[in-house]
Amino acid sequence: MKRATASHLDKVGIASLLAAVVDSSDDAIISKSLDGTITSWNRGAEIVFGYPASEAVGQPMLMLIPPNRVEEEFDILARIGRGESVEHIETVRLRKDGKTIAISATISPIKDSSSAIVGASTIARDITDRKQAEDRLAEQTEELSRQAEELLRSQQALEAQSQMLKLVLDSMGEGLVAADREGHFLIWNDSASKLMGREPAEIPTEQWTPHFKVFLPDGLTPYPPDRLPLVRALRGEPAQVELIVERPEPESRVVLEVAAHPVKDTAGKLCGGVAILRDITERKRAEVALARQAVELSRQTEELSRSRKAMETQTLMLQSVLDSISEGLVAADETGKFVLWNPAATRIVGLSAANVPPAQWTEHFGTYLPDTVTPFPPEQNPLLRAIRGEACTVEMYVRNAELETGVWIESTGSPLKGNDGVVRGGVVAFRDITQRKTAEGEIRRLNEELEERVAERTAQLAAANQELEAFTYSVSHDLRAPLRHIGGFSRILIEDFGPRMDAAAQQHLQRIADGVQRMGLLVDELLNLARVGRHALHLQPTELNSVIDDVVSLLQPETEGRAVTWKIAQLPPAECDPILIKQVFQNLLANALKFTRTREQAVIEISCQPKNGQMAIAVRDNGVGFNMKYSDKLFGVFQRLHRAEEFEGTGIGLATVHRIVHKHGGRIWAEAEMDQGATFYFTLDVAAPTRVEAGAIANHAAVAGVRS
Amino acid sequence: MNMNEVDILLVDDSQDDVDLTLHALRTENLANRVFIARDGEEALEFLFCTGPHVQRSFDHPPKLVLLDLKLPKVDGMQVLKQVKDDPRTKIIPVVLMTSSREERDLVRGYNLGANSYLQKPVDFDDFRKMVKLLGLYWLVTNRPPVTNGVPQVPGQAQ
Repeated sequence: MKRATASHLDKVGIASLLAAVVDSSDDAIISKSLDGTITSWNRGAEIVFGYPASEAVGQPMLMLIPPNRVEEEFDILARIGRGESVEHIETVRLRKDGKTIAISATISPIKDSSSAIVGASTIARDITDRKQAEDRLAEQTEELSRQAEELLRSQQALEAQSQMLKLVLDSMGEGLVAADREGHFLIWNDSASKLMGREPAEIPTEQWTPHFKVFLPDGLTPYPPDRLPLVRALRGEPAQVELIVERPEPESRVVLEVAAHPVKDTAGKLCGGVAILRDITERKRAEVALARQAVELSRQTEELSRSRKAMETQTLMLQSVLDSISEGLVAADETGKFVLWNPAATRIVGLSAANVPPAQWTEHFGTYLPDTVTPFPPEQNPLLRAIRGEACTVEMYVRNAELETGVWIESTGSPLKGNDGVVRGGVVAFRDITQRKTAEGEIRRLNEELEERVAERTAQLAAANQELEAFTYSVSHDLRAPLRHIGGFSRILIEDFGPRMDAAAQQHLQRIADGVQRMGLLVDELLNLARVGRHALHLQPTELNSVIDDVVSLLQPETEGRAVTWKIAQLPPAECDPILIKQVFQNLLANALKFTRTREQAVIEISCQPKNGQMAIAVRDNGVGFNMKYSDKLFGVFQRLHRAEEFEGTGIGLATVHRIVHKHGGRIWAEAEMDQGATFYFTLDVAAPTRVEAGAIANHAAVAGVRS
Repeated sequence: MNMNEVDILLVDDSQDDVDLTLHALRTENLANRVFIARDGEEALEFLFCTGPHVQRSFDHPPKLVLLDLKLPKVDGMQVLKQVKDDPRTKIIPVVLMTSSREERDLVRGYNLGANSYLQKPVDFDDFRKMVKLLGLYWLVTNRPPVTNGVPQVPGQAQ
């Protein structure tokens, strides 16, 4: 309030102004007498205490004092009486409505112009609100300190918690990374370091990809920085991706699964992001392996299905084979229950599979032993034997009501074994061999017939042989007898009646004698030939050279007065009959001598060379030879290539040689030219010991001895 | 001819052979006491003194039997066998004379006890030579087991 203004006011005006001020004041301004009676009451008092001035003025002050504060009033009055002021006492008073209010009061003595104390003024202000506010403040302070304490406590707890959290974060296997909106890393736990291979770096998010070497799952493409999960989280979008991180240490690519979430403060405002990293390398690897396995599995499955299909095809084929083969095929399990019975089986035995115990099979199917009448012993049934683990092949005869005629079958039974080798049943394959049996019977019959016929023929042959022998015998005996008689009597005729006969008659008689002699020779040679046929071959290793020596000495008389050169090679021992071979050499050498008769110097050579595992012996002469045109007649009986006047002979000698060589399994042939000599060849087996040395014969042939 | 004085029993069914043989024997003057049997039966009757020869005595056997093998009725081998099987006749020399060159006959003949085996040569000269040698040997050179009905005992001086 400005002093200048007040100086302008007149004194009267001041009183009313004062009154107006008193009245306009919100504070209660009360005056009271020293006895405590209220003397003035302003509008503020009305407001504060609820009494209108009319009800308050003249009334004791005590009506405003709560009973417990009466003392205080007396005290105040006392102090006022002593001229003291009571300033700013805060106390409690009663309102008209009975409510207690807090007031702040300043009580001052009212002095009259004599400065005597006449009363007291009380300026009171309702401080209930202030009091209440103060109380509230106190309360609030208390609350605050409590809260502060609590805050402290909670901060400590928070610190502990944060410590623990850090521990937890560091100890968890998953990487945990948190960043604020600007991309500053707030959290980067140990696992994150381990997984990323790096510590957090204060770099802009655009450089995270190159810095941390992050790739897309293909492992090649650098991860687009704006698509990095944490970056996306920082933009407010959650993300879950797989990515590959190449760590600094070698062989360090890891596949990470990253889940990132935006972080909002309590107000819901985006304040950062958090990312959780999980190493899924193993899982990936496992997944790859799994995928590979899956592929393999699917391949196997496919294969299985293929093989199953193949098996089905095979089964179908087998089925059709079983249905179409002509062999009956029957299988039974170990209890003898039929599990297979193909159509051919039904066709052959006339019956289909029947639920008949094995003991009754024989009766049911009508099976018999090959004698066709004895029932087949049930325990010998090939199927039953097969079930017992025995393989066998048997012939059976089947005769039952369903078959028109009995059937021969050949059954082959084999055990059916499981993979473990245990017999699970048996299978029998059988075929209709009726035709074969019939044929066999026929063959047997034919054989018997043949044997009979052979026996018959043999007997006939034997008879013929005997006849032949009888013939030779009679030739030997009976043919010679008349010869002898003719010769004898013609001789007697010449001797006894010669003088009475003319020369012509005597010459005729001489012709008869010559004829007799020739015929005697003929008969003897024919007998020889016959004897060769009858002669049993006695093969033995024979020294041919000694045989030849014998023959040469035998022929010595024939060489009388002739010049004959013998060139006889050393021959290997032959496997032959010495008696017959001697006959061969005798005939061949005699021939050679005979047909060289016209030569001044006869040369007869014997040599030998290997031929087809045998030896070929050659008898060569330098005689008259013969025309090869007739060579086919050489070895025939009575065949002669020269006239009797030129060279005598019977035409039996070479036939005999031929027969002997053939009897030895050898061959004989001749080569000749008219007037150029002849060579007779025949083959003989070399005796066993020499046969080993293949070159022996050649050697023998080479060392040709020459004898004269 | 006294049947007990026969030197040679000639057994042959062939008249030709008989004649030729006799002719040859005659040349050597050996044909005087020859009895001819034309078959095996006759030969056996003579040798065993049966039938027409029942009067004959075993004490006077022929000095030689010339036996052909091929004979009617009983063949030569049978005759030989019976002669050589019987102690009364087995000492009589039997010479087989045959046309046969069969070795089995030869062997069989010797096995049955034949004293000789001769093949009749086709050539008459040869035949005659053989018969001569034969007669001279058996009738002259050889000492017969029986002389004039008395069997000769070995060791006994003649």
